[in-house]
Amino acid sequence: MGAGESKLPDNAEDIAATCELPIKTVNRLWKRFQELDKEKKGVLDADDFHEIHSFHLNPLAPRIIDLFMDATGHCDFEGFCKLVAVFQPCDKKTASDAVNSPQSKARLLFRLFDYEAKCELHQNEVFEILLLMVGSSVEETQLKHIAKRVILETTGGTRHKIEPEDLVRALDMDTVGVKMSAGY
Amino acid sequence: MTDDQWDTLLFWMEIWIKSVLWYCLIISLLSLVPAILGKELGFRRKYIDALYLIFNWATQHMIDDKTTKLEENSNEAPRTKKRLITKEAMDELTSPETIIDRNRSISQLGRLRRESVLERPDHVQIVEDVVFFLSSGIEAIVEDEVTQCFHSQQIRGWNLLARTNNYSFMNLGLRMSIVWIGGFAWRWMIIFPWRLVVCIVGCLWMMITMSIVSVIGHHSMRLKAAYWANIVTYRIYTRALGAVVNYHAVENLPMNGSVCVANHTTILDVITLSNHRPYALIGQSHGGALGWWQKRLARCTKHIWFERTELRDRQIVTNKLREHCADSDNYPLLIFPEGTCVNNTSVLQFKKGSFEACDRVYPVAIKYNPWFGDAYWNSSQYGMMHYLMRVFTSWAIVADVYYLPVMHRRFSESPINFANRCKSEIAQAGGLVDRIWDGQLKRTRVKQGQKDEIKEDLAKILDDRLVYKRKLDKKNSYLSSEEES
Repeated sequence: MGAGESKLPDNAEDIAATCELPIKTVNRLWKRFQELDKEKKGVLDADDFHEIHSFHLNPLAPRIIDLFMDATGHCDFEGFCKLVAVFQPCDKKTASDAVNSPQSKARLLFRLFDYEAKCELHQNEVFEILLLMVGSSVEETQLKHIAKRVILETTGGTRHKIEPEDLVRALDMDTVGVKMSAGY
Repeated sequence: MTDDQWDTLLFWMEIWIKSVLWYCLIISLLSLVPAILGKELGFRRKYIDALYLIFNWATQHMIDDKTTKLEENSNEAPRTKKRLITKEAMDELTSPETIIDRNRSISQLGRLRRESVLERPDHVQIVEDVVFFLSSGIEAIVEDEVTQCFHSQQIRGWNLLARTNNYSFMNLGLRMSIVWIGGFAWRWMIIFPWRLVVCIVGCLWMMITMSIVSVIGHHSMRLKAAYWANIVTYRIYTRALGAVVNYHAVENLPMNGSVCVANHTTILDVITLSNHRPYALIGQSHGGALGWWQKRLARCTKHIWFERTELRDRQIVTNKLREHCADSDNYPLLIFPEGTCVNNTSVLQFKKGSFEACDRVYPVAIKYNPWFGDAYWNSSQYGMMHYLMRVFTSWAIVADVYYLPVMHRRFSESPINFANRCKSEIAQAGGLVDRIWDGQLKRTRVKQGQKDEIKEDLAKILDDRLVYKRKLDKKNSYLSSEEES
């Protein structure tokens, strides 16, 4: 905390509108953004995220950071809010094109797997995520086997790659809605 | 200037100096005499009661303001009934405000096992594992458990201090503004100088009496005199802080030659506890004002002050601890196992060092009431002087001290488990949240070993599911083969 820190971002209202967040939440997120941005750069880089203790412990941390980053490898406040907005709670009344709808959440989940942005998941992508989660505790061959099973079962045994619609179909939307929400 | 003008100037200066001296004398007597006698005049408690009424009024006023605004904006908002906010209700308004309802902390990985419905298809379970980590990660980014413990506690109302005002000043009505200005004048112009004078009286008392006591030859007389010098010093300091402390379960008061562990919120915890009985302190020797204070205290009481280099050697620390506890003339050793100041809403990990050295501890829980003043010292935010200014210009420091029954280390219980057991007792007594995190994490990064632990945990969960599935498959195939036959 010190001088030079603004109480509110200049374009708070624009961000609130674009990200479909209440202004109060935008302000709180701004405080948090500034807290994370220790060197006062105005953007966050991967190191800033890794400073968060419980986040650093998370095996999927590198992938989650990639979700935040833009092409230059930094995350500005608008990008921060856009992503966090997806995790707002939703209910039956939420429109399916809203930023926090179950469909939107499922698409974000897809992006987590799909780091090369190919819009389809092969055995390799699923394997990579599994590898991140369990590290060397499980043999690679077993992980590849699990990855193959996941692909087959998600596509109903028909194809060898997952497309976004498959994920949306395979998951229970209520569960996704509840599990991918941070109540704030 | 003419002679006449000089005369007038000197006259007024004399009056001013005399008033200040009389002022100091009266304050000194008002704080010194009750401290020596060990009695309270009762002014501070009546002051606290009056403040409760004022806060009650202010909070109700803000609720009314909000309701009126709501009503101005829409015709459907119901009118809140005017209700008297009791002390208990106001205490409820002090629960820590968080941005998110945390239920996916990474420390909850074990719950994955319970939550995961084993009959669900494999691929769904795997995807839900991924979802768990993703959500947990986002939650940690928005608000993590460790940083949260180092923010000052928020109160869901207003205690008429600008520093806790979450509402804009523009929204205050005329009445509130006048009350706020009155409060400001009271705190800065009346009680702040008062408290400074009392603080100086306390320092003088400490210097004089402790030096005198240290030259007393007769052993038992010296002990008695030292006890008295110590406790009066802390009583005066308590008055200097405007502190009102309530002690609960006094039958569990720590005895000489023992170890006392408490949760740490501020350096003033020492004063809060020592107001009741003196303790031996343990810590690093400092320079500057703090170092001076340490030396004064050490003149007639046995404290343990370490050089920085000695702290690294576990054995030296353990030996000194044991040595101290072996002598029943020594005051109980006051230890803060968290190792850092925390915001008084949670208790962080207890360092096992002190629990390795002794098998018997007296746990004490300290809970400050945030309505009257924020006792938490955020050392990265405020230096000591700035912090003391904040404390002196708060309304008061109101604390509840809960003495807990002595705890012994069980046979074959590890120091870590013993420490955690004490921690949870303290957390429960003080109404604090019991957390696993190490307070030092605010300065350093998590170790690789902990990261690997999480991966191993998940691997085990996957394995368990596989075993369960095999059992299920076996059972199903057995049943279907039975049907066929």
